[in-house]
Amino acid sequence: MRMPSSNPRLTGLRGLFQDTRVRSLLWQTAFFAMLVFLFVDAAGNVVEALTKRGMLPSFGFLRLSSGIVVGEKLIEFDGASSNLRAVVVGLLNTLFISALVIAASSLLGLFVVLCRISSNWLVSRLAKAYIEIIRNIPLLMLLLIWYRAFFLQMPGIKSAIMLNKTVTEGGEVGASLILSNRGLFLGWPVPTDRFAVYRYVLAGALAVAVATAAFLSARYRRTGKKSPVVLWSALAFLAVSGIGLLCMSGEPPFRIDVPRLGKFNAKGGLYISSEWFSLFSGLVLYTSAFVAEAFRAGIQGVPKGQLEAARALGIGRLRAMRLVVIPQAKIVAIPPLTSIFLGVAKNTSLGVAIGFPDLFSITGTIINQTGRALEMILLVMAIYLSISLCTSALMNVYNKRVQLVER
Amino acid sequence: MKRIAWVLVLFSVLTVSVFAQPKQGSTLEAVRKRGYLIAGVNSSNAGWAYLKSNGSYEGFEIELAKALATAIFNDPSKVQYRPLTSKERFTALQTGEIDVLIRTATFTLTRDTDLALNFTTPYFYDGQSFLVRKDSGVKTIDDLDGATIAVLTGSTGEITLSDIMAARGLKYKPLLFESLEELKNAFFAGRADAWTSDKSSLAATASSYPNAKDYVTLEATVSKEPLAMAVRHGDDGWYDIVQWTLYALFLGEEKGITSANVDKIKASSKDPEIQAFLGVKDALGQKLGLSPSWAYDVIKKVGNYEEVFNRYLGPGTIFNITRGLSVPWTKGGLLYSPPFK
Repeated sequence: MRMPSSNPRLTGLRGLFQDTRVRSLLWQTAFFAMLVFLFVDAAGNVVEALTKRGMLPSFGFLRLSSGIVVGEKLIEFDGASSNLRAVVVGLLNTLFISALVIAASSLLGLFVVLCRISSNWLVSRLAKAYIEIIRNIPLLMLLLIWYRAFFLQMPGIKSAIMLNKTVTEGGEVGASLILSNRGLFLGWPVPTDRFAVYRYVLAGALAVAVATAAFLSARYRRTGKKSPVVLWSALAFLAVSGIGLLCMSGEPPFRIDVPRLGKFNAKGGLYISSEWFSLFSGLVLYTSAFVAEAFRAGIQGVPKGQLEAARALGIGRLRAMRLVVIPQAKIVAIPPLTSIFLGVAKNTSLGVAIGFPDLFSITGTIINQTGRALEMILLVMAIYLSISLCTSALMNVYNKRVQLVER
Repeated sequence: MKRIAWVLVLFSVLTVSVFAQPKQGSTLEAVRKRGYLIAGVNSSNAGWAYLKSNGSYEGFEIELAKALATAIFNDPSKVQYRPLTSKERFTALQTGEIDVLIRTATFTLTRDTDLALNFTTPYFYDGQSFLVRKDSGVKTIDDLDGATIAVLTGSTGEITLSDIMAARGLKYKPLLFESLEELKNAFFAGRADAWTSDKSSLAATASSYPNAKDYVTLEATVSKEPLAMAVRHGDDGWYDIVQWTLYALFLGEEKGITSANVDKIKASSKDPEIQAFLGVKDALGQKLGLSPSWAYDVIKKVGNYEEVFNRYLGPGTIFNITRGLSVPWTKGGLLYSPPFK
């Protein structure tokens, strides 16, 4: 290789500059310096401007009591709790609904894609219509339609739909299911005093289930004999806990808490608000259409010959799907699924439009009450970013595991 | 290499434009130079400030902005309205996006200090109450134990609600909405038992609803909601202009000067304060950096407080809002203008 510096016409500074490596290093340094300057300058300006306006960020307000009341919460919270706790309440609401949406939309998406790739013309077209319609409606519209046109149109609490209506001794009207535009109240088992004993039975049942699973997987490794591990361990758990329940004398460890109509709302039992359910169902519908398409991309990415070969070996269509096609389809489907799941946590922020107290909604309240817009927006950005990065990391780990290992 | 050079040029331009130092100088100068005032307002509060289908703004608060534009430019139309949600409003003012905030903002100590704002004297003394269905049997706040209560997020009402319910040991379920539209939809569909807000807003909204007579506002007023205009800290001259323009509206009503009789009064009045007020003698306007006839212009082109109020909220309108304490001190109210001397 002829070095540029050895050329007599290209010595000195000029020659140095004509060396591609030196030149690219120079440009990169200049570019980097520019970026650093930009960042420092911008940050300096922001701080200076904010100081001038008395808006300098400080997070001390997070420890002050919030004075707000949240309608739906997974942990204890009242007006005396701190702003930080309010953020946590919102975060938990967001995470809880996101997790359920991801699980439910995966199942629904799987069902839709099975219809979509079905050889039945009608079923396949219906699935296609579903995907195209849902995918092309803005999510906010979907939520508003669901909330306004469906939930708000249900009968009021006074004329609610009730199942197994009963009147208690106190003259209260109860039912195992109360459906109104307030949402759904369901009879729900709650632990009684006897639960303190019963929980040892449950722990024992869990131990038996784990042991079953361990035994079955050990046997698989030893003999290669496959068996439905999850099914057997679930059965073991149910059997032990059921026998325990029958053997216990006296008061049962659970009692069904029946929702009763109060003056304004029903109380007791499990309560699913219209807002929660609107957001949940809207998100599940919307996400499932995308999930179905990601699955379809995966399934169609598997060469047709694979399925044909499996069928030729006498393997049934469903078994061939499960053992041959889906393991290979997963590899293709996971990266797009990751992006879809990342979107879910962010999309829950639209709950603010229909009155669901998610992270974003509660943040808005705190901003209004404290005026600390900049701090809260930064905090919320950081939280959403962390949620996304965690989801992404989890999906990457899974992706690595299912990836074909080339040897 | 050429491409990289372009990138560098682009970045330097960005540095200069985006990260340039915030401009110095008085707000009045900036407004004059721009040629119009930028006012932060509501766009969906019927009677107070709302966007009409033809794209223009109307309402009591809009008239206040027009009065301010008249004081500066002698032209009520020199205003650009910025529709803001209650969540955005203070940030918009702090960052200098608007010159003045006239958006049913309650004057509180925290907002005055923590947000580095200056509030004028209140232009309306409001108070929070509850709207309920007549057939719900709710007469007092104590009847609301266990109720679902709809409230707009981002309002002082949200805090007041939790405070008064806590003070009385009452339980309730809040239902928070960001937009008034969604709140109204849910409330009138029976999703909530009560809706809490300032009395004026409740009256204004309920009256525009077809089954208005099925609903009633509770007697009790549970909070003080002095609605005031706000400007940023650090420009006292600008604050004076906003404050004294409001006083001009107050004094107009107090002295009975209306847009109809202002010319006659200007020509004939012997009252030295009225003479100073209308710029006949003592060019008071110049002390504010305005024209000598600024107050005359405001009364002539916009009207006094009573005229402005009656135009959008008074007895002739569907809202017919009770003025309560928002009448001149001479009639036992709290509207009191310091002397124009």
